[in-house]
Amino acid sequence: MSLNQLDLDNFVDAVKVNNFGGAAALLPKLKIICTTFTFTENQQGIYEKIFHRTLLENACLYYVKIKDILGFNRNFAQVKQYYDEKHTSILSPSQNHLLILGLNLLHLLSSNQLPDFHTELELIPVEMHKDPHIRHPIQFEQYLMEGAYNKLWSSRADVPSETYTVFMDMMFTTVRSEIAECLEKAYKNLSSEEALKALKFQSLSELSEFCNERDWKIVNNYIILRLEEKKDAKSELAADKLISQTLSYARELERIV
Amino acid sequence: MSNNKDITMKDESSSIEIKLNETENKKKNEITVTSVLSELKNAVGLIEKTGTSKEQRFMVRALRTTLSSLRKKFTTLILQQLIFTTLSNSLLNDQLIEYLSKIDTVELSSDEKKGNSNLPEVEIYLQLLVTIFLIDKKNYELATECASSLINRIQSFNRRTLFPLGAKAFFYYSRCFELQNRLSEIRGILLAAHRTACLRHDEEGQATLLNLILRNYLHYNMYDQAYKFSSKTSFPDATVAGSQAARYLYYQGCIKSIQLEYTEAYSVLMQAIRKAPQNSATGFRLSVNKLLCIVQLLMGEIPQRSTFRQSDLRVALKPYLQLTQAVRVGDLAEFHRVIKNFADIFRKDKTYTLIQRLHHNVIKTGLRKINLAYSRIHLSDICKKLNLDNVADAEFIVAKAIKDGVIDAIIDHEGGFIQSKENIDIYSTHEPQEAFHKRISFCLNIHNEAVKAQRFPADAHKLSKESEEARKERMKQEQELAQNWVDEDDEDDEMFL
Repeated sequence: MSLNQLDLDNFVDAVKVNNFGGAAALLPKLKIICTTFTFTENQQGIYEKIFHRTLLENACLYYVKIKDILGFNRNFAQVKQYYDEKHTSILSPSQNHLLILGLNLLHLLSSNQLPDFHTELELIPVEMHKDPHIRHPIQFEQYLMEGAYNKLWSSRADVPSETYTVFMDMMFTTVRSEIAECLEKAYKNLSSEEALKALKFQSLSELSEFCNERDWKIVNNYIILRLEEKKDAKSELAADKLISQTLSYARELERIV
Repeated sequence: MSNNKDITMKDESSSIEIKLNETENKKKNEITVTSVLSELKNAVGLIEKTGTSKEQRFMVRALRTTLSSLRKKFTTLILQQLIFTTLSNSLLNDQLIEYLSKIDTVELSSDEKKGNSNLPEVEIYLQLLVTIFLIDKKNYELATECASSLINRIQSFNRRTLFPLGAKAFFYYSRCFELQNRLSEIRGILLAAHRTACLRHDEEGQATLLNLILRNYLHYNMYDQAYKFSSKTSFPDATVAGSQAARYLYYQGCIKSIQLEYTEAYSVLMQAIRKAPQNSATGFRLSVNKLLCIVQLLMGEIPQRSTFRQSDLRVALKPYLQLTQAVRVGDLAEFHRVIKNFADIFRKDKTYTLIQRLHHNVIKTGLRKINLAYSRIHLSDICKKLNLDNVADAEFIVAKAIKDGVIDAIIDHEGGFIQSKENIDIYSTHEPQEAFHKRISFCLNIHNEAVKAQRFPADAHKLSKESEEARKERMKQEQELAQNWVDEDDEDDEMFL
């Protein structure tokens, strides 16, 4: 028992100081140890459960740090069962509880799985929403919905833990393309400095690369966003849609006896 | 002095009145006792007929009359007499009387003849009555015991005639646990019973259990599992009572609204309102209306004022009316004030998280109004009107709103203002066609569902000549079927409070 505990402590320390090699070596060994546990409902089981839970939490953190999202998903699915009501009543609360939950929420946001984000959020009791780990993803989602993108950039600065930055970076590529679409629709043309500020690029070269991808022309430090006015809506008939609708009416009417 | 005299005079006259009232009440009580008892005996007779003839409609009728109208008039005396005179199984007899005696003292009158029925249907019916009575008297532990033993008995039988009784029994069983906050314990039992009901083609039971399981999951906010469960099972549409269908639609609406599918949630909730009875089931209609209001706001539409004015729902919907007003005007400060004031109510209704999402809806509505009113407006003015923090924020928010199609405008960055595009004549676009299409498909849908819901009368294929009696019986039944929608349900009321 105590040998296993020593291994676990080594693993936790390795993850904390970002010693990925050491952590990777210890992880399979610890998982094998967990399989030898027999979980029963009696008092003995509590030590094993806490062991397992700590292992899974730190495995989640480890996978996030080495940017292995699939590994994070796997371990999170396993550790989630320790957070439901049955277990929180018998086990002592874990320190990383809210951190792991917040990480998962941010992960769902960054991969644009909004329905899952909201269903997960429902499972978290309202009192925990005030905790900075949870509040951060919630506010992030609000800013995203509103479109206050500069608030998004500033929220990057006050993350509760540096593990969040991994997901934040993934998010910013998506956010950038969103901002670009907004700019296209809203502005006729934009000066380069403004574009730099809006898209948060560091230099003009990155900006010009981005513009080339999107077919924006750069003229005299101005970026022309819209190429030409779209054709009038009047002259276009959405022919396919009209045909399918009318056909469905005819079919239904024929069915009336 | 005169005051005292007045008071004493009043006391005397009131005490005389009280005595008169007492004797009147006693007489009334006796009359009601005998009438209720006779109606219950009728119901028992109907159930016996079901047992022997294996036709379910008698039982359905008996259940309907008992549960809606007679339920309020139960007393220990009535039930105890009924049990004594009907059952012959003394073991069950004693058990039930024991439950009753814990509520109230029970006297055994010796002049009634002992009962002689030993059909399982009758026994289960009586046990169900006792359970309902215990729930109504708020003695939840006893009710749970009674309900658990009832469920065990039902599951030991395999009779088709027990299906309607079984469905009701599970309903009250789940209700006992819910009132004690112990719903998670029975999840396994409900799931197993649902499997059995599906195997036996017990459609009433299947529908009831499906709804109970969904309710169980939603009670604990397990939307993910509720969604997966409802996607893997099918709701037996055809032969099921409207009350279960209405409940199912409401639960679907709850799940969909959390998952951001607002248009579908809206259509499902509208169907639920339509299937619910018009004049009763206030609690259910209240919950559906609340959720419907929030979903409409989230979709960007403003609910009509007439929904808030319905007479029986008006008081309870008041916070939602204020919320709608705040969103309609686009005033963020007012919106936050309303949320803070009524936070507890919203949390109890489980609409709090949905309301949080309304934050950006308020901003968008505000923007839309500004855009309609001004052809050109400075960004700083927009900031002031919408209570935003700074101009850069406002610029981004407006840009996003333009991209989402909320407003139709262009931002001029150097000048720092927004210019609206001129309005095109709406009739020349596709808007009218879309609106027509929605209405047409809705009408066609209703027509198809009405055709599907038609029923032949049960004996039409027999082509038998009806005797006068049988014909009267049939007319009475059809009348009661028409009454069905009006009588259902106080149950619904209790369930959705």
